[in-house]
Amino acid sequence: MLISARMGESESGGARILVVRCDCGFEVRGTGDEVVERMQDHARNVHNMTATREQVLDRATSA
Amino acid sequence: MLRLNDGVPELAGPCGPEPWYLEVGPDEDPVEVVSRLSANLLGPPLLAHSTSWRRGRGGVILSFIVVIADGQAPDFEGMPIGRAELARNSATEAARSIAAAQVIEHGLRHLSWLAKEDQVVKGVLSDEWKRLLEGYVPEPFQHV
Repeated sequence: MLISARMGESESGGARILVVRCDCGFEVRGTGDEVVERMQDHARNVHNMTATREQVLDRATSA
Repeated sequence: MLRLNDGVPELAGPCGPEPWYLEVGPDEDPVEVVSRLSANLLGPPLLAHSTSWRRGRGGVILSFIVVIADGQAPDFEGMPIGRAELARNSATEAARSIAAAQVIEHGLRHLSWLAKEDQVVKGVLSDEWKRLLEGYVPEPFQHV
């Protein structure tokens, strides 16, 4: 439920566009699933980090 | 991540002018992680060497100087490196505040010492790098 709320689903069921910014300046925007996948790739490939879905979405803001 | 651009040292990497932070797991070798990710993202480095440590971000941060070849990884924007005063404290305490520019200055002074004393480092650095490093005061053991 928390993740669903963080994804910013609108009342009509469409997904909002989210923005997630890494401390290094890297930024991704897209739906919840898109930002999670791309930010997890960035964390793993650039920072050798494992980021959970919750950690990514906790940084998300609405575009 | 350092390279020369027309004889000027510049900071380059996946995070641009920002420091590049890597997480090292409890069972991982920091040098291996730095070398592996550097090679994956920018191509094989000429040199990867740890130069200092400090506390921060809830742990211990090891600083590395990684030198890549001139012109390597052109897709990554570079930022010229200026000089900085070193962060200092008493003989038995680490500096309380250390800026990124001071970490780089310390790293280049360390590299300057290595370029004179270490045959491997001397062998991989270009003459241009060695000339530039002569301008940095060797200071290998800041905290001793």
